[in-house]
Amino acid sequence: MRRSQLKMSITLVIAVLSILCVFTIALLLTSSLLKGISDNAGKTVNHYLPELVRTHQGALKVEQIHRYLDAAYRVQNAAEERSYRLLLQVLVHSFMLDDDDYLISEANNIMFDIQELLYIRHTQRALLEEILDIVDQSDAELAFVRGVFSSISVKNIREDIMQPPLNQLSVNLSEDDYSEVQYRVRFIIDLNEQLDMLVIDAHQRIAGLANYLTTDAVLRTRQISDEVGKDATLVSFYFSILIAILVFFSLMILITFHKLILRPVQQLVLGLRSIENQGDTTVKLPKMYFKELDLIRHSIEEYSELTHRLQAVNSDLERLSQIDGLTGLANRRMLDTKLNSEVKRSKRYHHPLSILMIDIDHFKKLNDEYGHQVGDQGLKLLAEVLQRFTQRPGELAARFGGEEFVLVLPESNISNAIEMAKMILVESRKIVFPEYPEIKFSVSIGISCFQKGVSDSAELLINHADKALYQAKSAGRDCFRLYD
Amino acid sequence: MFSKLKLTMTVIILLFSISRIYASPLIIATEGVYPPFSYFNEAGELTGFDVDIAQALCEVMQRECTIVTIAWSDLLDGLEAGDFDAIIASMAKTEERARRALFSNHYYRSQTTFVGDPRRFISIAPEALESKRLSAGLDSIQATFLNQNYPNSDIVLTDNLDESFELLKLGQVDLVLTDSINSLGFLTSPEGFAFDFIGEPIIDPILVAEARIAVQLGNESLVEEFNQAILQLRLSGAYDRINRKYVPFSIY
Repeated sequence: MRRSQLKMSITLVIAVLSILCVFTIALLLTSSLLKGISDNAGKTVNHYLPELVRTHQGALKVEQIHRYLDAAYRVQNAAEERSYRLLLQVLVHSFMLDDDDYLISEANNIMFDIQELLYIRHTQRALLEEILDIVDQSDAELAFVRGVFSSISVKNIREDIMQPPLNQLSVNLSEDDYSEVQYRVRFIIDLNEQLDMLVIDAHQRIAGLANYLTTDAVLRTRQISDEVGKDATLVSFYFSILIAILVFFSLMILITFHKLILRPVQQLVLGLRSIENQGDTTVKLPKMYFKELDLIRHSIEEYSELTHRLQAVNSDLERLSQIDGLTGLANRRMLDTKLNSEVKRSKRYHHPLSILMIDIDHFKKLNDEYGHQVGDQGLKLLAEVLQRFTQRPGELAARFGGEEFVLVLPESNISNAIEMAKMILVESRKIVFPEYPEIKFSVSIGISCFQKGVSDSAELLINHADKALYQAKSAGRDCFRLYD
Repeated sequence: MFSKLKLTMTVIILLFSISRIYASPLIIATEGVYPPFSYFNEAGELTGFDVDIAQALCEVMQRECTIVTIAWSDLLDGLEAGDFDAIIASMAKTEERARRALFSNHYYRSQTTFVGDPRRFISIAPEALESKRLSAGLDSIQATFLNQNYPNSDIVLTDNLDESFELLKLGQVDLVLTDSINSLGFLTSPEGFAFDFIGEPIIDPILVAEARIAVQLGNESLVEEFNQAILQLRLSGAYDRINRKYVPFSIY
């Protein structure tokens, strides 16, 4: 299955652009919503505040009506009453400008009360005039009573204070006149009581109106604060959404970056590191999401395979550099390395070490008579024998050069070495060439053993073995000699 | 190089002239014979509600203002001719006036009521006032209203309301139709003692007495400036102070 892969650069550009788009849209939406809210708030202010001020002014006007009413009730002369009434009239009528039926009808009711009040006052004054006329027409000595009636204000004509002057009049006036006066005084007193009721009624209406306007103002204030509060809640709501979008996208970016870029890069780095210790297997990595990273993954895997091949070639080369091509025994270089290390061990731990130098007898003659191929065959056959005798760990059979071989035998003392030499001599004699059974094969052996102060270096050991070999050759071949 | 310099100079000159236009003082026209809104007091100074409001508005707008008095009938002509920038003269907005000037929001409201002798008149129905002499200001909304609704009455138009009240006192007209607050001054004066409001305030679309500020057609920015200034005056309480100085209750 092939998963479609995206280019990281293009993906990044698309991601950044889409994030910008989303932010722009979110910002535009939020800002337009915020603008709507602020417009709304502006409208609230423009709509409710003047109305609030108007309601407040209405309340003030009602207060003024109250004051004018009291003044009109209290003043004595008709002229003042009239000017208060005119003011009240315009004031009450001004409520008609507002589109509020309750306000208008109550204002009119108050106006009626006021007109009623003024009418009653007018009647009372007329009655008082008539009383004064009657008193004036009488001949009796009524200065006190006349004084009382001309100075008293109609609103003070009450039952209790009118009794003394009435008593005086009942004595001094004719019965008819007295009953006329008494009737009018009673009328004024009754009208006063009626007026009191009227004023109480008007006050109640005014109080009701004031209450209505105040409640209205309180309601408006509540409305303003409610609407402003609603707007504020909306603003905070939209901001929360904006912040949520911000957080969401940041998290998305982080997770995406972590999943699609950071972790793959870490995997790639780990893969690259593990090439060093990959052993027999090559490094395999999971497929990457982005093309660029996948390219790197490919390169790492290829590099791993290349390294694997190089390591194989390297180990082959190493092996080849230590082996003699013809016989498959160790070559001279390996012999030198091995012998040096064995000499060091023997020196340090005082372990015995012997070397055997083996040379094929009459090898030159073999070559000349039967050809090089047979000579080489002889070398190979001997090598097989020597290989057989050096199976213990640490032991080594090496081709020293030409038809000369060296055996390195750690842990072998002189007698062990002699034993080995004897066995090799026996086994060498048994070597048979299948095509040329008449050929007699034998070797000569020189032995040297590690001995401090005498043979305590690789060179000396080889040198001494060579000398011992020479002695063996001199002694007629197919034998061994020990260097001493 | 030189053209650049020229351009800069032009811009500077342009800016300078704009700022000069902006800072130029406003000329505001009012009537001067319409107490308590605009009139000359005993000391001969122009005063009144309209005048004080005009000054307060200028203060809020931070503009220098000159107030001039113009006869009522010449106000709109003068505005159109550009003799002044605004009319603050208790002018209500009518269809006809709206064709000649731009109007702000209202800065006070009032009603129209008949004034006359209460012993002679009770009803104000057109039938009851047939062949009676009714007076109103020339070119006023009251004049329009009378012409439309009292065709059988004798309508006497005067140049200003002082004249109308004078005619009423002399018995040359029977009733005067005008603004209640304007009448109040006359009625509470000793001369007006014999007279009174006749009937209820008249409710009619023609008589929507909302006083507005008039400016030249097309000068929307100045109207907006006035509207904002009116709102500010009301909210700051300055309006109420001026109101109380001339009328003992709120007339907004």
